[in-house]
Amino acid sequence: MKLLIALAVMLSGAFLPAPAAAEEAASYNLGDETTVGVRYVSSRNRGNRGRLQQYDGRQYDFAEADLGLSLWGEGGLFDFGAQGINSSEESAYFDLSKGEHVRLHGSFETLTHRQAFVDSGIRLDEQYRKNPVIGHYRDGGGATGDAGADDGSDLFFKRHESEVRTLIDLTTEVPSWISAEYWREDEKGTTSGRYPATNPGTGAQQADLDRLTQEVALAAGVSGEEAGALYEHVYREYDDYSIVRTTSAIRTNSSSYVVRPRGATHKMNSDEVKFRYGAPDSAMAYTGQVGRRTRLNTDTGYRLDDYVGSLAASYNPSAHLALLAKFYARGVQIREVTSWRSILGTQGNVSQIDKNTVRAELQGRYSLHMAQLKAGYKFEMNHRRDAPTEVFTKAAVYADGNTWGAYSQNNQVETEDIKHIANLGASVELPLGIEVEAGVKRYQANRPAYESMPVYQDNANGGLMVPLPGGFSLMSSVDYTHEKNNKSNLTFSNATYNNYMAALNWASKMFDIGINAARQRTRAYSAGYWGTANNYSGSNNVVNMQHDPGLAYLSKDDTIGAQVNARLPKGLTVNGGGSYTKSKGAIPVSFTAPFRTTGVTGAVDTTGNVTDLQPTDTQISRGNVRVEYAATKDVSLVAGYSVARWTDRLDSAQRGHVNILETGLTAKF
Amino acid sequence: MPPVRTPERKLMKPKQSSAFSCAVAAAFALVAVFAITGTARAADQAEKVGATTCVGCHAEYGSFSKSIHGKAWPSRQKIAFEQSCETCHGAGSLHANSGGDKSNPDFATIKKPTALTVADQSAICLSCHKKEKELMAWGTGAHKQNGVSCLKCHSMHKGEGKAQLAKSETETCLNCHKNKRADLQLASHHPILEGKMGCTGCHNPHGGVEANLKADSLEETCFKCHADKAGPYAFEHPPVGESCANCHKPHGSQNAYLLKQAQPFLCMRCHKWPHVERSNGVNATSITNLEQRSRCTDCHHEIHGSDRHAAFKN
Repeated sequence: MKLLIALAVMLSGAFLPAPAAAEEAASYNLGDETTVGVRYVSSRNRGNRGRLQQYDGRQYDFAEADLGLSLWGEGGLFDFGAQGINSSEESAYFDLSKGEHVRLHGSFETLTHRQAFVDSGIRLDEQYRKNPVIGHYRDGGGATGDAGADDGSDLFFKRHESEVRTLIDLTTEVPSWISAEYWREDEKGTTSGRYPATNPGTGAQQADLDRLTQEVALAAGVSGEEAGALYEHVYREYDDYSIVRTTSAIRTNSSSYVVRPRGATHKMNSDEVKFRYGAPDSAMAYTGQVGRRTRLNTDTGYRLDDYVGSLAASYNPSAHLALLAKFYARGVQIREVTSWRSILGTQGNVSQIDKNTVRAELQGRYSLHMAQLKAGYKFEMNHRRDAPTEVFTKAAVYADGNTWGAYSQNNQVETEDIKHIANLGASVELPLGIEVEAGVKRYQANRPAYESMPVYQDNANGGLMVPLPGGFSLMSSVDYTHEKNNKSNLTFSNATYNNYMAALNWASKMFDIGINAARQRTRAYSAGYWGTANNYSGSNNVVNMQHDPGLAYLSKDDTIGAQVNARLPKGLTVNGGGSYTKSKGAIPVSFTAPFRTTGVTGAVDTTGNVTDLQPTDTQISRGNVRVEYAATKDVSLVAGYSVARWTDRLDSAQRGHVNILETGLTAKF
Repeated sequence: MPPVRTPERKLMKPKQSSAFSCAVAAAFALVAVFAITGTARAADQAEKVGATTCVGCHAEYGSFSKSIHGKAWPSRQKIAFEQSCETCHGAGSLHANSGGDKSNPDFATIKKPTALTVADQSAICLSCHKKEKELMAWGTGAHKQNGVSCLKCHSMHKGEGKAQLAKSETETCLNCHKNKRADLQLASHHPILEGKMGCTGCHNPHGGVEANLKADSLEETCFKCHADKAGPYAFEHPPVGESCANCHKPHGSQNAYLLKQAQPFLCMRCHKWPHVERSNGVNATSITNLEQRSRCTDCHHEIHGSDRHAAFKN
């Protein structure tokens, strides 16, 4: 932040001529846009901050200030702004122009990202149960406590995003330019580290987080009226400086388990050429790009090569007709490092998949009087090489008589799949301003790439907009999707997704008020194959396992919201809003075998068989009001209040609420 | 000869009975042709009058000089404030001389960008904004193809911020993409409601190669901020490289980490085989494991890929 401000001030002096001479000073507009704002925020919160206040950088007691300054004229432009100075989420930017040829931009932004502790317990039926094996969250000092609001965990990291970019117009016959950009994102703080445990031990621990992504982009381009092209080279580097902690209490394969968010450090280089042809008001337009990208894993030497090419052509002879054709091709190849594999030893099969994708698309839109028709077709073919083979060497016999022999297949990833996607839609403008729209979409694949993907998917959607007397308007939409995979190797899967939405708005010269409601339903079914350690004994086949042919995931989300914007007389502005979201989800199960909730070696649960896995029942309420009063043309006062509440009906440790009061003053000079 | 452009359908009247409507349509067409050709001829004869004349009637636009265009034009485009109005609206002498009389044909000689076709609007804006990398694919972009013009989102006179959007960025997008609003309210979401991220963090509304995304694929879009997931890994989890949307719902979900469905169901849709043979084919969920741990990622926590463990445990 300070560096950015210093850079802006330093460069502004170099870029803009000193307004020493009276006539030179007169050519600049200085100070017209200088603003200073101060704000005080008072916050009171209780409960789990990791859930409710996930992004809470400006939700604590502090006094902050904003500053804005503009200087512009024929010789150049200097525009500077800083917000939230002294808060946890400072941000700033500057823009500089030197004449018509040189531009410089810089920005800085902070995000505080509070982390939820690892929810290491089990949600079964209608309650949250402590995990009998891996215990609960353990903080950095080694103290074990219950995961929850009172465990003292305070995990968060700060993300700083900075950017400086410049563009220079070259004074040549051809309108050409060069540009350079530097972008960085660093994240520092703490988060939840997780790793597997065997016998009673810690499965979650506070972990250090310190990582940095930097990017440099150099580009050159020509920009004519009818045609333009650019070449850009991007270098990106991702480094992880987190303090690594290992624990010897945990079983290892090649070394101790690492307690930090791992991720592979890498360096990426990409080259890209983009072009366009066709004047903005001409009927034909062509755009396209060709690029290559390599990403090198700096830990292991593994390398990804990625080639992408696309070409699109549009034909818009009038406002009534729009046609579009697109072609897209991509090839991805991962180069292995055998020496690294030999270090690791035998841990499984090759899992790198090289993939080529070809896609072609046609879209059309035709407007006729008050109606508009849309149609489209997309074809996609994927070809994969080196899909890993996975084996299951034992036959399985299920309690319901379902049997599967010893098993071997390419990890359920198809070598080749072809998709066809067609869509058709229409919208009609009826008398009285009523608008109706409807569409259908059909997705068809010869086979799914993964078991979770559908063989076919049907979608139907519709919308209605009705302007009502007195400035009211009503809007509603419905979206229904059904998908099915009936070519799975093991069983079927299918799912339906229903989304409904309605909104009522009222607008007048002074008021803009709206309420909205949404309802989302998901019903997904797949097969469940359950086993226990008792079903398998050494070299024998597995027997008497459970097979649930219709294992389901059901979820419901209901949201209502309202917002008010009022522009009242005498410089008074009132903005407010609120929302309430209720979410429920569960995986209903019916185990015939007893379910132990006291650990694998513990006693059988005497409370009966479990009926729900991982149920959720969450309610989130948010509300805010903000009043702004323009005392004079240049001075305004602001006061705001917001409240939010998170209720988890199954786990009290997740609950929390926060109240925030904000007052401030802004002055322009 | 360039194709004749007609006004957008919004300007059309409700349909009447067929014979009557044909006659009315023909009459309107005749009048429109005369009006358009007449207007064009008159507009050609107009001369520039300067912004001071414009502001004389349109006082509400006097603060244009403090907008991003008003600040940048003098130095970057050598367009002084006096020239600013007529840069987009065309020469205004005939319009000004009509004295606000809408019945006077000269009144309509001023160019009103919001009434122009998408292509003609684009031509005005792109006459300056042709260097922006983000606009390279505008000509074949989804918004242009669907009749969404520059001024559908941007407001030259009332817009705020550098992008001169008529509303906040999120509200601008949700104005049409209404079904995304509910997703953003769910328990797990990107910090869009909190104002720390906008739709343009991932999408390029001016046109992209893939679903208006900023990068050329969904996963590369995600990897810019989530670089720790990018790999390539010694042990890849194949769906990650194919599409992040195989497991995640990027606009919002009731499940943690934006997951489409709760674990273990999400994992079991692919991994159906029993999880009891520990050394080979470890490929599904067992009751035993559920008894000990609540989710698959409690053990397989490096699920996006690992350089150390084939089962993503380290």
